[in-house]
Amino acid sequence: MTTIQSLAAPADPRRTPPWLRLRLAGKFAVAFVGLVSLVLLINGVVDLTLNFEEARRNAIEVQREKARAAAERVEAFLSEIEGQIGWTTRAEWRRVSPEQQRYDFIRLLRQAPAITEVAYLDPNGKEQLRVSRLEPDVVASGKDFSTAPRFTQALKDKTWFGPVYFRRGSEPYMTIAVAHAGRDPGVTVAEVNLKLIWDVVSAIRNGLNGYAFVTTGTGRLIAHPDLSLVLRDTDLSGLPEVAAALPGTARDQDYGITRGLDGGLILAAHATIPRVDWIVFVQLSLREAMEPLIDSIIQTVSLMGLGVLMAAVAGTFLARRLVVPIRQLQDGAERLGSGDLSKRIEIRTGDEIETLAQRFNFMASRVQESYETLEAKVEERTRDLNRSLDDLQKAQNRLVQSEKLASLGQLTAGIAHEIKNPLNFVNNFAALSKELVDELRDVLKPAALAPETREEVDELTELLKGNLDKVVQHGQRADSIVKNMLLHSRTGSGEHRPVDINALVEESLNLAYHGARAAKAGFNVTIARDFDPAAGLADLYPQEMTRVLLNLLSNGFYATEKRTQVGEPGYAPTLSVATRDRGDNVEIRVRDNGTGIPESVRARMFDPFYTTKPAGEGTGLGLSLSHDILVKQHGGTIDVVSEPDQFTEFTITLPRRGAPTAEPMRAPLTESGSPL
Amino acid sequence: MRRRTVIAGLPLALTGWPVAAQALAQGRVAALWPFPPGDAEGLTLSSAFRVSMREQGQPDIQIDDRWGGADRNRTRALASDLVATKPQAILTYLSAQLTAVSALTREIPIVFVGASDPVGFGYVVSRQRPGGNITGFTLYEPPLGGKWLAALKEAVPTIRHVKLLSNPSSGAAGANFYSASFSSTAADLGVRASIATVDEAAAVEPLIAELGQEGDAGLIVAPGTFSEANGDHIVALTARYRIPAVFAIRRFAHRGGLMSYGPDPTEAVHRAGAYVARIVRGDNPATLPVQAPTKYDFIVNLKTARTLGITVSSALLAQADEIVE
Repeated sequence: MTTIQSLAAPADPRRTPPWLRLRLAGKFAVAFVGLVSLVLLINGVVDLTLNFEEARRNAIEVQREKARAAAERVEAFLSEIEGQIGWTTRAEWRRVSPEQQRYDFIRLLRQAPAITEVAYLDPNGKEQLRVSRLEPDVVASGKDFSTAPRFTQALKDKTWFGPVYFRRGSEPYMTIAVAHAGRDPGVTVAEVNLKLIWDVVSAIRNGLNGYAFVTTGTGRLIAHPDLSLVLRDTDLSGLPEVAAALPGTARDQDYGITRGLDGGLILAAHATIPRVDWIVFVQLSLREAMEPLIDSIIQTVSLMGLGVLMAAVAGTFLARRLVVPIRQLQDGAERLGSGDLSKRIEIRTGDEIETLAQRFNFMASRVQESYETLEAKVEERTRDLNRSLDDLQKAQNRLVQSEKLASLGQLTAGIAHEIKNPLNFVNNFAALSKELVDELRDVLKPAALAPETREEVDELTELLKGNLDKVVQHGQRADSIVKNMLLHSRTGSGEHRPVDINALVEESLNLAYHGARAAKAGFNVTIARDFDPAAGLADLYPQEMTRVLLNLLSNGFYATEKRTQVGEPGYAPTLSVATRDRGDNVEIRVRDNGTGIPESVRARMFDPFYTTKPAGEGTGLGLSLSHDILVKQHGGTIDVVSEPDQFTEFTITLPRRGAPTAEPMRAPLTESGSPL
Repeated sequence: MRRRTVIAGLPLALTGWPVAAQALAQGRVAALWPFPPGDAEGLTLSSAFRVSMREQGQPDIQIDDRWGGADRNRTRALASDLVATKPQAILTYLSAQLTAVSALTREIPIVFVGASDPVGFGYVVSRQRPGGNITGFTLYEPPLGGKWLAALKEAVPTIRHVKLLSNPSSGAAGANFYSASFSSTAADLGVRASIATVDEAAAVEPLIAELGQEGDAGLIVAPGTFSEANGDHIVALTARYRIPAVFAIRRFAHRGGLMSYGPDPTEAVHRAGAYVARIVRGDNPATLPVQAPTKYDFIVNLKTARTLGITVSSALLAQADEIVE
């Protein structure tokens, strides 16, 4: 059992799995669509990968550019402010008149629109002059700023940037203090409206949610589109993007993807402003930055969908175009297979399938042709076989007939022999008795007898002698018949010799006539002889030829007698026999004006045992034997022409030097031999 | 068949988006001005607005200007007209116009120019985050009261009395917008200060005539719709009564007033144009802070000074951004 199982198991995989058993159209469509989808998919993936990289790079580049531009503008703004303040910070400025100082400040305000208010702190930190755009100028207010950062830090660092503060709620300001040059310097303090920075920053619009902001080097927010964040002095150093950009960290990368203030993923880039160590950040939510990519994905996917759809349509169409002719081909092949060779496959696709169909058609026609030829050949062979069978049957019949004839011959020979002896006695004693009658009359001659008596005796002896003559005559006739019988029963004793045709015909005619007369009393026929004296000799078997002639003649007599019996008025039964010299051949004609031979009979009359005579009158062998003797033994021919109720004429043609192959046909007959 | 329709549909599908985007971009905004139609100042500001919109990348936007003059009823009617047409944003110039429009809508974004105290009047929650549909640009600040007085005192040091000609719209709840700084500065400078609130053209002449009779008196003309409308009339009166006057609205210094100190309204309108453009692009007015002008121009009309017999000191001239001769 295990063996069988282990043997059976490997056989299973060879069977086609069900999913592979799709129809051709399905396979084709699946392959087509699959291939197209695969190509589109690969294309899409490659496209998307490239697009992603490009979109990312582009987004980063754009952010970076924006950050740099913003940084540049902020820097330019600041450096202009610093520069403008710069010319009020010369070492000798302290010594110019207050009026001139005020004038310088007014000029400063005019030239630096962002500065709203400018003040001068003397080396002791006391405010000496304040000029404002909004308020009346203040001279020597003496306000003490000596401990304020704007004074101390400015002296320390030369320039001090204060925190961002707001005036009137919405105006971002920064105090910028610049220490004067020289020993014991004063400080110029300017209140700078940062709206320009805010303008710069808030004008950086990045899509829907992107924005820019500026922080100091420590992460303190300086500018942000949301002013309230700046107002709250927000420290953004904890924000990943800011932390990554702060000094002391790796700053080689000026962009990054991190979490923004609102917690969402963002793409941020930054640029520093070296003069003040500020950092400008430009950020955009990652989703928006990747929007082109999403568009690209949608585009790719929709193109892919479209492609697959078109591939499906085209695939189905092509598959149908391919499969329909194949189906027709299949149907056609099935019809051919089932033997219907007459139908042809009609496909007009103009491609290989049409060619294939044409090949099929060609094959079908060739098969049909061969089939028909084969039938013809079979028919021919069958006909040949039938003929052979007929021949065989004929030969067999002839053989049977020969056997019958042989025994008949023996019987006839026996009977003839037995009859001949008593017939000899009859003939001899009849002849002797006639002589004895003559002796008796001689004896009585000397004896006296009454004249009447003598007369009576003479008359009686004459009668006796007459009777005895008749006995002798008929006895000799009987003897002749028996002799002929013996001749007939005995075949040619193998000897062929030149025979006088006319004599042979005459002898046969006599024999036949006498035979006929003997068989039937009152038989009467007119015999016409038309012998050609030039008929001459022919080399043949005389006995056999006599048999043929006897046969033909007796048939002729039979036919005339038959017609006589009908009682036709004015009918004169006639049998004519003629011989003709035909050069190398001799012709013998036997013609009677008897009943004739119907067409139906003529075809079979040479068949053995075929007879039209009533049972007991004919053996059906006559013509068969004659045919064999003439055709086969002597190499001659026998033809028959007949018109029913008119005539029948047999024409025998014999070669004079014929029968080269002649040999005794009926060995049994010759063997029996004749005792006489 | 199917293929053909798909292909035929492709151009439609491809062009569909740009068409929609264009339609979205082609917006319509409106502006309500306190000038009569054809007024030179009005046309200047209107064209400044157009220039700004063009600079902000909105060259195709349709701008619907309405000229209401100083007539309140007419202004109100125009405001309701404007609101009914549902523009994407409305620009209003000066307080009366903002009041008229803001009363009608809480949805249509309004960008104002020249509302003196937006928080005090309740138009915005705070200047930093307006919080509603209104934001904009103020033109004047309260300390300017002192600045004007100081300028007048510097030009005419002999002056003893200065009257502030104020508009009813320039202060919330009766309190005058500029009075605090005006009064304190007057005290500092030893000048008598008085404030007159006027909203009828006929009421101006008696005031100025009185100042003329008084002698050594000056006039400060505060900004407002009334001043805009009657500025020329006031200039003529001050010339007739030989009263040195400081105007907040700069163009009146050009037209015969002695001096003016105030912001350039063209620049404010220009900046407001930027806000309108941002709002059209989708910004929320609630998050756009109310802005104040950064620069104020000091203009001195020397011709008027000569007419008045005033010698303007070189220090004052040095302060002037513009001198009219």
